[in-house]
Amino acid sequence: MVKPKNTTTTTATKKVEKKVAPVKKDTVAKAAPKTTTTTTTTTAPITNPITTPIDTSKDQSIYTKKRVLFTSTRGIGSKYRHLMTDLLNLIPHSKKEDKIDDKKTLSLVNEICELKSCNYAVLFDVRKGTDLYLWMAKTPLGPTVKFHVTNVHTLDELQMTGNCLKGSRPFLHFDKSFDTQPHLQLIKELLTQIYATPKGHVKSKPFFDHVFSFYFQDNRIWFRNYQISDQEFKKESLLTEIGPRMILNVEKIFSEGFGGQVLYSNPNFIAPNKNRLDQKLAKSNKYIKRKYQKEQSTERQKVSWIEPSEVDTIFEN
Amino acid sequence: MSAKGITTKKAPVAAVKKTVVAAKKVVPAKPVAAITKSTPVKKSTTPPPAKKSKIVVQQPESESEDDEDEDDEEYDQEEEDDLKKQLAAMISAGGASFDDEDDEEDDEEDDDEDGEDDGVIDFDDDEEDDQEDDGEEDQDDEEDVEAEVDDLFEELEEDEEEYQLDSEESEEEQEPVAIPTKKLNKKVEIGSTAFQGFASVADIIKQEASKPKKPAPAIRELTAEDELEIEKSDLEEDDEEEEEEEEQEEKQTKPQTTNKYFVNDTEGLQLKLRELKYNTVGKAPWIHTLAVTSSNSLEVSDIHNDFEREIAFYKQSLESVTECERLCKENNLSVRRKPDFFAEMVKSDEQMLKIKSKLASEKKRVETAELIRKKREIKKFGKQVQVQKLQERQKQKSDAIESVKKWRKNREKGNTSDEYKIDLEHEPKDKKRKRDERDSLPTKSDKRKKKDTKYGFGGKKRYAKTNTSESTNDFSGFSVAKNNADRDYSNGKGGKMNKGGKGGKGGAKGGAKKSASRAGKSKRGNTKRR
Repeated sequence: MVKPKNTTTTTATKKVEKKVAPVKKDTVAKAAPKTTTTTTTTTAPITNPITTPIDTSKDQSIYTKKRVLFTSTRGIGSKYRHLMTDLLNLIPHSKKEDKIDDKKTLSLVNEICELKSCNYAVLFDVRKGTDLYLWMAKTPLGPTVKFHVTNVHTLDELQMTGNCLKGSRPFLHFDKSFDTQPHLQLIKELLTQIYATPKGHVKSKPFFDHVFSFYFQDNRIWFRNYQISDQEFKKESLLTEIGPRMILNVEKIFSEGFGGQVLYSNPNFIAPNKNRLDQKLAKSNKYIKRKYQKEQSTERQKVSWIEPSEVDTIFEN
Repeated sequence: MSAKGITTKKAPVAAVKKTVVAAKKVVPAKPVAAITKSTPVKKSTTPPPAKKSKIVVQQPESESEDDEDEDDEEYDQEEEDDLKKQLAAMISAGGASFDDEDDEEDDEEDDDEDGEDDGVIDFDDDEEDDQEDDGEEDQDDEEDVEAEVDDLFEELEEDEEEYQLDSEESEEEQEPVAIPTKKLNKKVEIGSTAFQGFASVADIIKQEASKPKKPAPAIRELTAEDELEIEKSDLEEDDEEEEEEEEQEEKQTKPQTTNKYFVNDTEGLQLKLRELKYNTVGKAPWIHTLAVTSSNSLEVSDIHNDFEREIAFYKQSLESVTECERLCKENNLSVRRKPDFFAEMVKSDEQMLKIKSKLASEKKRVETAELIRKKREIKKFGKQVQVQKLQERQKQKSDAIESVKKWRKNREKGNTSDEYKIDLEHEPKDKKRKRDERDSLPTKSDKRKKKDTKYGFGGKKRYAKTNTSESTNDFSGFSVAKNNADRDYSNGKGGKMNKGGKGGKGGAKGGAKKSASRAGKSKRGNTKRR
């Protein structure tokens, strides 16, 4: 088993946050008037998708014509680049795009998606070369979910022994707790839409030999990818992990593609920058504390000096 | 709308607290007021709405409250009776009891809450009444503090009447009452958005019903700018409350600016979810998504315990995999690939080889480690066994010696009881058995025995036939008669003793003879080669 080094979050810089802040404001301002329009277009017939047979006469292309754009910002490290290529390998309906130069205007991704005729986008936003933020979005109408990614293990690591066909469609597994909260429900839906390869996709193969699993634990989303294989002498199938592994920590959910209002912001999220700062502060405090304690003790010693009583000096004379 | 919501949200808690304080101050008189209040007014004991993030606003739930109100009325009447009894008791005892006080507090709280719930709707008109009422209440209090205990009961009745009158008046009165005291000011602040008087509740409900309901805002989340705008407009509308509102605003805006607040716009999220889920054709059928949600929740006590966590993950996934496969069969999808279907894999062969070699090396490492450990253990264990054996032997020996000593002692004493007898038969028996064993071995035939005696059996072959000092000195086999048997005495005296020269051991001679027949070395070598 691979041990995750540390589930605590790691951080982004002040610089970056400053850069990002105005973007958010802009997007919010833009989005505010639009909200009324988005709310009106909603209702559709609710049907149970599992039980209802597929109407073959209907055009299925709306499901099959699905593309996910994979991009990254500049400065993505080797590890995260590998992670991206792994995901590209695993998801047949994905498309790779050049790195984005301008971190400030992420809304450009919407346009890129339009150009590349993609309806979903996954953006690897790396800051300081260490902190990976994963943006997953349905473009251009949203929603967008911004994750902070920790504990990444790529396919290149040798611990994970499974393997699967390139282009086989994955099963998707979700933890029960995804249905408990509205923001998790939204995330679940988005994840299914992004990760699920539709039946009859050109690059897909008609077999199932791996499962993408998402679990919600410790206020984070844990991602695993298992190979499914038959077991000797046993009915139930054997799962062996293929990889990659990662932990997604939801930071924010926006109403539109790379912009719009903030629908959800995670109260438990500690920015990696803040985390580092805290750690440093704790260390510095340690020093200060020790100094302070020393001072205190010396003072106490001074105060606690007791004059020798007469009894003590009786025999000295 | 939402700005009002914000102001109302904070109010209830504070209001309740303050009224409670007021009630505590006016212990003896209040019961009556409370009773009178409780009879005409419909009460709602819905708990004050829980504090949420300031941005999120809940829709007012009207239906459920009404139901509760009816129940509460009944309850109040019962309470009233109780109160009266208690009052009587109190009067007879000549002092105030604290139980009553508590009840009153409850009543008051109820009233306030009621006001708050409805207050969102009509806002401006009734607060003056509230002021008035409060003022009178306070006056009553003063009087009652002065009043003697004996007269209390009568007074209470009077108050009741008075109060009813007051409430009727308050209905009619529309003019604002001037000069609220400091204490009152606070009260008003609480009631400003909330309180609406007692008697006119039925009318208010009618009004409410007749009014067209405002539609709930689509997405409730507000940006900072929006909030500010709404607040400003609010201020413009109600001039009277300006000062108080300002105070409140200050209180509210401060934390917003300083604290980072978190958004959880559930409605917006749900809307978005629906929008995302159902596109123009409808929800994507299962065969396109292949998504399954587990029926069981994860049970991981310690998320940092890797093994436990991974096992839980594995189990859950396995469950859903079986479910998926079942669904696949239902939908006529082939699950497993055929063995002759070869295609590119996600991980390259090179990578897989690496993984395999790593696995193998790992296995080997583990095995060797195991072996070493085992050896070490055996070594340790072997030593232990040896030590034990030695100890045992030592013990046996010492026991034997001791027993012999005892036996000897007893023998000296002349005590020959069975107790001190040594089991002497034991050892001989053993020996006998050994002999028996030897007998039972396969016996040699007579011929063999003879041959053995003749040629020897076992032992050292070398030097068996050489002379030794003993053999040379051994004359046992020598007889003079034999020795001189071939001597011919007839031919005169003397003569050589060993004429024939046939002496010594035959073996040696024979050897010589053999050697004579042997070929020379060079020849021998040749023959061997051939």
